[in-house]
Amino acid sequence: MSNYTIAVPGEELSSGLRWSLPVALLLWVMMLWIFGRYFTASDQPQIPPEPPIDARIVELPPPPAPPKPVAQVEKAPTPVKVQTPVLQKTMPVVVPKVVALVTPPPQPVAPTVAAPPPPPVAPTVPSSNAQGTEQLGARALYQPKPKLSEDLLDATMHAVVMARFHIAADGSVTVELTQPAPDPRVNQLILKTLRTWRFFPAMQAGKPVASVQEIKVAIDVD
Amino acid sequence: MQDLHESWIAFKLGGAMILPLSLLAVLALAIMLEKAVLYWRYTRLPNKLQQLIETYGFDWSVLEQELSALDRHHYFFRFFHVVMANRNHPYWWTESRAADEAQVIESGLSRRLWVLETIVTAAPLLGLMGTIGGMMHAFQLIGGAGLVNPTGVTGGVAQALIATAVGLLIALISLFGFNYFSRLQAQTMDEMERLGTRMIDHIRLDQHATDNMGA
Repeated sequence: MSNYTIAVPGEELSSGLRWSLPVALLLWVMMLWIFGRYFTASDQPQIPPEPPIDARIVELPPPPAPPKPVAQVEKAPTPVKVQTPVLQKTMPVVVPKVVALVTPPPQPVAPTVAAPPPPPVAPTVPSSNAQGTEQLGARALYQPKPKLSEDLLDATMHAVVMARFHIAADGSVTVELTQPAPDPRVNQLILKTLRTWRFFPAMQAGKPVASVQEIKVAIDVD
Repeated sequence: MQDLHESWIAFKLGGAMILPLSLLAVLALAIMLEKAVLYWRYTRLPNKLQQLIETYGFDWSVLEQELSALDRHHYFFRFFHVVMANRNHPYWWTESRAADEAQVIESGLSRRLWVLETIVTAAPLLGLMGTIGGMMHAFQLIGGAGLVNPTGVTGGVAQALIATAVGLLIALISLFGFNYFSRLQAQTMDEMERLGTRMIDHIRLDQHATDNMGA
């Protein structure tokens, strides 16, 4: 008992922090790791279901016959009705009936009104020496309908506009109205909608080429 | 590795207040770990020794032998040793020395508990500071030209929420630790007082018997 010394208060506790601090740091890093995993896991963006795309099945013109220049010159292109109107009277915005008349690219149909000549783009008509190459015109992939507000409906009764689509080889589209509607606001709405149309580029010999399509857009409000 | 990266991003989203919050968290965890080991190693009393002291008329040499098995830093060893070393003095002297030693032991047991108690209060406040900072940043992005940076706004809100959540988590852990170790301290001191009273009573009986024999 003689070797007993009075302990200094907390003497052994000071040494306690020497090992507990690193362990506590390790524990805290682990807790942060778990917390971070939980946070990032719950933060994963919930992919919302894609809204249904308002699109229609488009009847494509049959691929042109093997390049026979004589036959193509004699045969006039027949407009193909590609869209069937859907009447939805219960919708707040009246959806006009859209009828697109697609003219195959080899010989664009001139609109009734004198239209500017088409820009020089790579023709989709096979040349005379392209005999034996496979050719396929541009196909529309996405053709939403232009939606007109109530105040514009009167001005667009049975309106018909002609639109010229310049479809590049990469599928990008520039559109212009060769025969616009009387009301400029209607033209703006129609152009805005037509710019959202998507096309699969014309194919020639298995490679996409630029092409031009004239489409007659008939807006018929019932 | 990807998990660590994501955790680091979440950590950074917490803003500047995460750093002092982390400091408090590490300190609280270190204190609780130290206390847990302290109570586990230095305050647990063997049943045999406890039963021996509670037996009236025990032999002091047997008690000394039992005490030798304890660690020198064991709190009960220190307390009993003081009583035994002063048992030949007048009992009031022994009682006074035992009270002094008990006070020193109580100070050792409660050491740094005030830090834990402070963290209980300070951690949510720091989290609220982070909340205010994040919200101010988010509202600054909204003001003026309107909502021009939605990502920045959501980041500010996330910063506010993370800081608050971390602060509350630290406060909760510290609160449980503080209450648990305060309770352990009270139990240890009660046990020490009870056993010390037994030993002082034994000393007084011995001295009373010696006085009677001398008379």
